Amino acid sequence: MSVALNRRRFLLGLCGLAAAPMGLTIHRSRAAGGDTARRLIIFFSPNGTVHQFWRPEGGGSDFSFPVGSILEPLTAIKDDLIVVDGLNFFQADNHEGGMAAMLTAGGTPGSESGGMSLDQYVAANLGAQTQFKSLEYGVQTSPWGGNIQTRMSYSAPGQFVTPDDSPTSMFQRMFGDLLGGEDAALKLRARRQRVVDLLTEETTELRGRLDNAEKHKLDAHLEALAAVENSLQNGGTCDVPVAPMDLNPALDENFPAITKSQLDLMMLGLECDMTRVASIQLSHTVSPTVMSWAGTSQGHHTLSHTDDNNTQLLSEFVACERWCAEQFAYLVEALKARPEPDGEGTMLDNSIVLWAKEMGDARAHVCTDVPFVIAGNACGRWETGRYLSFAGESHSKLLVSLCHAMGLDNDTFGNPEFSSGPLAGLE
Amino acid sequence: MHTNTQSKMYTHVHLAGALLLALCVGCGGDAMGDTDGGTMGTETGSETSDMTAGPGSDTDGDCPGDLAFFDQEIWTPLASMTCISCHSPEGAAKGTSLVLQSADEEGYLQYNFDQFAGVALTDVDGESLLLLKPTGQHEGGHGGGMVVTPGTSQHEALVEFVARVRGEFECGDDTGGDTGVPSCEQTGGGPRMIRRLSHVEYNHSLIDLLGLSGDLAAVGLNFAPDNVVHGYTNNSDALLVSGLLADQYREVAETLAAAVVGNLGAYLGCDAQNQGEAVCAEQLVEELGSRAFRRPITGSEKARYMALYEEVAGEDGYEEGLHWVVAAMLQSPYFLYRTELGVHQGDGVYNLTAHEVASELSYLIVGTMPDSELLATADDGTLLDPDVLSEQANRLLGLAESRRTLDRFVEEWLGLTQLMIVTRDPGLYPELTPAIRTAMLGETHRLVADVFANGGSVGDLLTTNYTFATDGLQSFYGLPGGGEDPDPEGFKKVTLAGNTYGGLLTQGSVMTTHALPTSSSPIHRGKLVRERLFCQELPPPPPSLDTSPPPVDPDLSTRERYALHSSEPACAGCHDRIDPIGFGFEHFDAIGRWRVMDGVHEVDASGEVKQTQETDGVFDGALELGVLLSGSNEVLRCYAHQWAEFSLGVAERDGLECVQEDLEEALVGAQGRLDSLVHALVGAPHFVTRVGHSGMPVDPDTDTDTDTDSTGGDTSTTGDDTSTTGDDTTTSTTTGNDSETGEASEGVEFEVINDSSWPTGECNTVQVYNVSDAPVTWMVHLTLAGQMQNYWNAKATVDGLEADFVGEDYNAVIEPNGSTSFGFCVNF
Repeated sequence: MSVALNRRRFLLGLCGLAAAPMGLTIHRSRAAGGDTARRLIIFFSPNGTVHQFWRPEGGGSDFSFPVGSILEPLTAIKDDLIVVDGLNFFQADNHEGGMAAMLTAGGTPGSESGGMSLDQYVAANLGAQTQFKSLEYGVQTSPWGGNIQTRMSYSAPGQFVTPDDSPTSMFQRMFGDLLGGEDAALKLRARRQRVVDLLTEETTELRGRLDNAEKHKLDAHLEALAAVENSLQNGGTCDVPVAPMDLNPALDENFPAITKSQLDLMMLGLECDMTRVASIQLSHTVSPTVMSWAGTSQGHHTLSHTDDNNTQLLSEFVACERWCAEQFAYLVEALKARPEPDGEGTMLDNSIVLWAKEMGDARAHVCTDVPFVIAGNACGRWETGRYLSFAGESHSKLLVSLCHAMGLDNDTFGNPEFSSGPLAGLE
Repeated sequence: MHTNTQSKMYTHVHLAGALLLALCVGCGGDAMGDTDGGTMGTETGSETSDMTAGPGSDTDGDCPGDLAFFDQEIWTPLASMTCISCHSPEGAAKGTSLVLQSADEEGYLQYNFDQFAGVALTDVDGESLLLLKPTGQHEGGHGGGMVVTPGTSQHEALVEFVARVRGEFECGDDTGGDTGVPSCEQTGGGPRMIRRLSHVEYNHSLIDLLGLSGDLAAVGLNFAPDNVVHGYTNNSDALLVSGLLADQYREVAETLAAAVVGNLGAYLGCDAQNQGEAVCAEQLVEELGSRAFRRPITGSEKARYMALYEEVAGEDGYEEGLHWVVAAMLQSPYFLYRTELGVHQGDGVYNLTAHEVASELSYLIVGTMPDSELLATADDGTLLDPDVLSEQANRLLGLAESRRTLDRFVEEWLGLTQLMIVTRDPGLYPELTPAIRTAMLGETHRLVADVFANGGSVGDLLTTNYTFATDGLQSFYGLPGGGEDPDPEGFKKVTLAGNTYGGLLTQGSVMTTHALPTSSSPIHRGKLVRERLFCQELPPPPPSLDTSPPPVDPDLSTRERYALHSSEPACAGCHDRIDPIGFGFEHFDAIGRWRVMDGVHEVDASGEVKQTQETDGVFDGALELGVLLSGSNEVLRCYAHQWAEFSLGVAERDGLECVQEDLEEALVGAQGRLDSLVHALVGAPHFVTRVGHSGMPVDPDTDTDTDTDSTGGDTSTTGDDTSTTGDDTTTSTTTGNDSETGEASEGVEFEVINDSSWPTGECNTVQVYNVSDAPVTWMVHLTLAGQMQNYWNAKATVDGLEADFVGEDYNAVIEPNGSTSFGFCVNF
């Protein structure tokens, strides 16, 4: 298979006119009505919340973030947000259950969403011919390795999508083939494609010798090679930024700098349309990260279990959460500051950013009243600047709404017994 | 024809199975849920839940009776851990229809069985109450929230229990999916497998393959970490290649290819000017391929790489051609995976090839590819002689490289992989410098290596009265100076006085890893012992309980604060097993220094081991705890189990239980002698034998590759299951629910294998065979049993329930006697 350079920017459409499905692959039909966003970004920070420090005051479009509260750092972008309260994860509780359910809503292979996480489902069905179907940026997600606590993205039930905690490695993956210029990139991609062809042949051959129970291993490998091929076929010409500093991603002290590097890389990738679906995961549930820069000497998870009477540790927890809010604000403000390349409005106008957490009140290990914040109006699909409170509805409705806002038309997300249809009141 | 029947598959990794294996999160605050810095044991990664080990697990014919089933599958893993924390005479659920007795009570098992049976026999809208309540599906809710997730093995156990007490279950009901594969008990061999190299193995292999040093010698170590199962990084079911990893492999392969071509003389003894470029390229393919693949490269493989060479060299010359050959080889599945597939001997029994055994032995002991001496015994086939095999095992055990494998096991076993990164409050613990952390790890490595090399036992490891320390570490610990001559890195053997430090568990590495940023942690330390020395997994606390602790009272000692756990019934169920062990380590502060005072309180390190099979007892301090543990066969069996998971690369997988059990007995029989495990595994039938699909045609002699001698049979380019003997040209072999029917293009046969199914859908693999004597471009038409959801490795044209499949670019054409496969899922 030959390789050609795509100049991605010319392929960008306007609001609600994302690239049409191509090729033989069956994509879901686009939603019939309403405007849709072009890109989806998931932002995760761990260990639930303490609601009295999280909740805004007021309601509907008349609300504010109390002084000193967790969301106060979002004040400047308040009009770009929808704060969503009162959603529950059904049939899931605790750190592990919450982490797994957050973006999957308990899907199985038989569910409409196939047990994928929101980001992977959208990426798989968007039909965008981008270099990467999705990009997963991590900050200290992996010192414990990959497991149910440390992963939020699923390509299938039980199949984690691994985020990369190293900005250096992300940089190489995104821009490495462009370092030698465009002609060199074209040649490099052609050579790599030739190697992928050889590897696919070998892998298929070895797969044929396996017992059925083992074949899934090389099925995964073949899928990985297909993803590589996709990135070679859809590689674009992006401006190469300065490489990020090479810092040890496992050390707490590097956490803020790496967060910024990853967010900046993510912005570049989105701006150049390397992908339409991206996520950034700050640590993981049960995170032991000591956010000393926020003024604490305790691990984040320890802080999240602070009783109401322990005002000192609670204030330290809130300080950590406020720092996370600042990172979310940084991302949203960056999207807002950049015009949509060759399009209309700002990148934020064409985006949905979801700040997700894996639990409600961490102290009780429950997944009720799980806090969400949405940024971006999805090309005018919905009104921002609102604080919505629900009465224990399934968060799978929110996931359906987000899919619809990305132009998909699924009725359910995750376990269909929990709910169907979108979240009434959001649009 | 291809008569392999439906086999239960591991295709879909089961998420829910992992949910149960979660932390026992304690009662808020510093409770054990705050395992900051710990990923031990129960936090499984993509735990491939063992779908075939469902109810009863009676495929071996040992179907337990109802009471024994209750004990093994309900009481021990679930009720005694989770339910009883509320459902006890004093607990929050004492007013419900389920009130359980603790194991201290006489006749508790029958009593509790009856309690469970009562709930199981209660129907609500046609469903047993026992299946509604703990899953949180009952209308009235469950005070403890969802404690059992549908789809998990624990849920399966409840389903079977309900069926049993209702008389709807018979032993033998669950034999579905009989593949005709002989059992482990019959042959001693586990399933045929491939194992992707872990990142560490990949790194060592590349160093040895290419003689890397400097920055290049760190390749792979900065990859995004793999999935971890039970704390181990080498679980073969979790080691998959993702798009991210494929990119990372490519990056490294191209970097190393440039290094090889840049210093070609070191890698290739061939003069291109005189001998010819093509000749030299072929020599590189032959030599490097045979070493990278750890067995002779076959003729067809050589042709494949030479075709790549010629294509690139034709455009860009000799060196560029070599560059891409090397880059491809280092990404080859034959390099990245080691095979344990063997050659079919008939009846589903496969003998591993000498080269497969060489790799198995080498990665087991030295964690890297076979060296030239070992490879030579594989080349001439002598390695299959048990004496030679044993001799080679002993030789490898004597190499310095064997220590690093042992080190890696111990680090993963005890969670010490976190030692270098756990955070301690620098204001409170400025003494914990990176140098001290490194010295702590060096201490542990040396002690384990010393005990191992001297024929010591697990018990010795837990009770040594000596250690290895640098001057800095000696003074950090407050140990008196002196000791033997230091080794090159400054470590001396130091005799311990016997009243403070002693044994592996008291080392700074263990104590520091298992502590909190500002204090010690009896919870982490107790949990470590429970999970890694007793192999008891601890569940999370029932959700919805208010687990917030009262405010920290500065007048209380650490021990007194944690004592709250056992005074609260909801917490005591787990914490009674954990805290009294953890208290035994209270003489060690958050960075492993000995202390007699905890703030203003005198340390009380008395403790108790409770609720074990045979190790219960009281003790005072970690030294006495070490003695208690060292005398326990239960601890030995657990150690063997841990080592087996690490060494076999599996976590409780069908067909390997008997190997694991044999290892446990071998270790007990050898009184815990550490090296007995290696010898037991190498000497086991499993080491050279595998079992697999017995329905496949057997004829290794038809291997068309004449370059390969019989001992190198694993290099066959046509798998056993692709040499067909059919005489008809179009067939449809459907297994599973018989719901898919169809036809194929000429010269093509196929079978539909049901991978998984559920009430509303199913996923299938379709194996496509070319039975003609020419390459064919295949097409398969199927009538689907439901609406198409997704498919892979093929292109499909779907019209209602009719689907035409053709190959993707990479598998559209099948060579004669070759095969390919694709898959799809439908919703009914």
